[in-house]
This record gives sequence, structure tokens and C-alpha cells, in this order.
Amino acid sequence: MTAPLRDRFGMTYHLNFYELDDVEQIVNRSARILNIDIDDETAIEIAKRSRRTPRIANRLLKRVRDYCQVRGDGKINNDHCFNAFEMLEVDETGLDSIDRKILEIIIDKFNGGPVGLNTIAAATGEDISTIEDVYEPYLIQLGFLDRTPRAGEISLKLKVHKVENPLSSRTK
Amino acid sequence: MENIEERVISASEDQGDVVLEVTLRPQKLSEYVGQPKIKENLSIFIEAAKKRNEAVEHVLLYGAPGLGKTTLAHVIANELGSNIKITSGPAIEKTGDLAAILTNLQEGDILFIDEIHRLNRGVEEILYPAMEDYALPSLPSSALRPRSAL
Repeated sequence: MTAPLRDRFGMTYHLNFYELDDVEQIVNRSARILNIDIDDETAIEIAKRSRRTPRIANRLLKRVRDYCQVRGDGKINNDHCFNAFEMLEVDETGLDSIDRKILEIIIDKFNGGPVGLNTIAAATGEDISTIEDVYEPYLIQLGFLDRTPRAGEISLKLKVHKVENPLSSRTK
Repeated sequence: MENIEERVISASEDQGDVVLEVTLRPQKLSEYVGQPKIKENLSIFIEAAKKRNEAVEHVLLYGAPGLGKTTLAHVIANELGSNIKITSGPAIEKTGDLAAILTNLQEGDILFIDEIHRLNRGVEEILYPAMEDYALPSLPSSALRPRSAL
């Protein structure tokens, strides 16, 4: 965005990622509006996987409800919600299969990086823009990856000092 | 189209979200959960503008997708009791398009320009005088969606 345009706004607000408690409240509120019977534990589990983003939280809520309607008795319970998350391949940090693939590529194939975005895109079969818009910001926000310029190309590098292998501590 | 399940964690809006978000969108600041600092600020400026019977200043909201920029714009409009007109940066191709939008605004209306960072330069320059001089009785508010969150 150009500076002259930015300067013409009297008020500028940056929306941050939400607190976990807030996302939990949002999930509960949405469930109430949509008439979804949900317990507190499930709301917390959905919030944890939301990437601190209300839109994702609401979408997960909807998917979990669909799963419970088909595979369960319509009521959301904890077992069903975990099965739903497994089916959606979203882990307890909100990482999905592509996130995990990106981390695996950087860790296993490239020794922690840096790895150019082009390479990551080719190895995962995703668009560069998808990697940049969907996956990279959250992995950086979690402190798993760093963004570094290398030979004119944006590259991702594992933050070794912080996490040796973020996947090793996971069940999946 | 890719397997949609794989993209459940994508914060960009998909077709199902549109319907869902219309139902779930909070209407008032008091219903809005989270972003406490922004809410406090907005409530003061909205209250002040209402007391003076003036338009609120131009508001720029920016942040990663899915965090509530559009929702906040609607909340501001509701709190002010104003109509909100919605457009987006890429949708305004020519300066004439913007002029048409601006001249169609009624006094006190809110213009919400989504993805304002994608306005082309020529159009942007038409927006400056409108914003500065209130040459038109408009009250543009806008959301910016940066490519990357950090």
C-alpha cells in the first residue's frame, strides 16, 4: 500500500491473531447461533486448531458438526471431534498435511534449509502463492521457520535454535 | 479443484464461508469477541462522532485474512446507523468506476473498500481529494489484506 494513501486515514488498526480464549468464545457463540450442541472441551479443541483465526474456527466447527451428524448421533462429542480432526488431517497446533510436508521437506531433505519457495512449491505440489499466503505465515508465527532472502529468492529456514524438529514431538 | 479438506486451515474465504459468516457476523461492538484495544478505540470515536453528529474519520483496517476486517466494517456501520456500500480494490478498474461509486453515496454512508492495497494508482489518486476534502459526503473505510501476515 502506498504511503500517501495510508497517510490519509485518520485511524489505522492492525488486527492481530486472536487469543485462544477469544476463539473459544467465538466457537461457543457460533455454535449457539447455529444450534449446535457442543461441550467446552470440544470448543477448546476446535480453538486450538483454528490458527487463532475466527474464520478457520467457524469452518472447523461446521466440519465437525457435519462429521458428527453423519457418523454420530448429531451431538458433538469429544471422540467424534478427534475423529473429524483426523479425517481433516489437522493436528493440535492447527497444522495440516501440507504444513507437515513443508516441515518434512525442509528438515529431512534439506537439512533445515534454507530452501527456496520455488523448491517447496514444487515438492509439495502447491502454488507459490498458496505457500506464501496460507502456510508460511503461520509456520513463521509459530516460530518454526524463518524467512530469509537467498540469491534473490525468498527461502524458508528452520529455526534450529528454537525447535530441532517440530514434528518429532507430535503423535502424527 | 484441490481436495477441499486439505484446505480447511486456509484463512481465505471460500463459498461456504460467505453464507456462514453472514449468519455469524456480530452486529454490534458489544457482541464482538476479541481485539479489545481496537474495540475500545472504536467505541470512543464512534460515540464522539455520534455526539458531534459528524462522520467518523477514515478507518484503515489491516491484518491477515479471516480475522474480522469486514466484520468490523459492518459493526462500525451498524453502530453509526449508517448504510454500508461494499466494493474492492481490484473491482474498481477505472477512475470512472470510483467516481460512480462516490457520487452514488448518500450523506453518512460508509464506503468499504476491501483489498484497498490492490487499487491501481490512477484510481487511488481520485480517492485522495474525496478523502481529504469530503468533496463528496462520503466516509470511506477500508480493509487491507496484506499478502503475508508478518
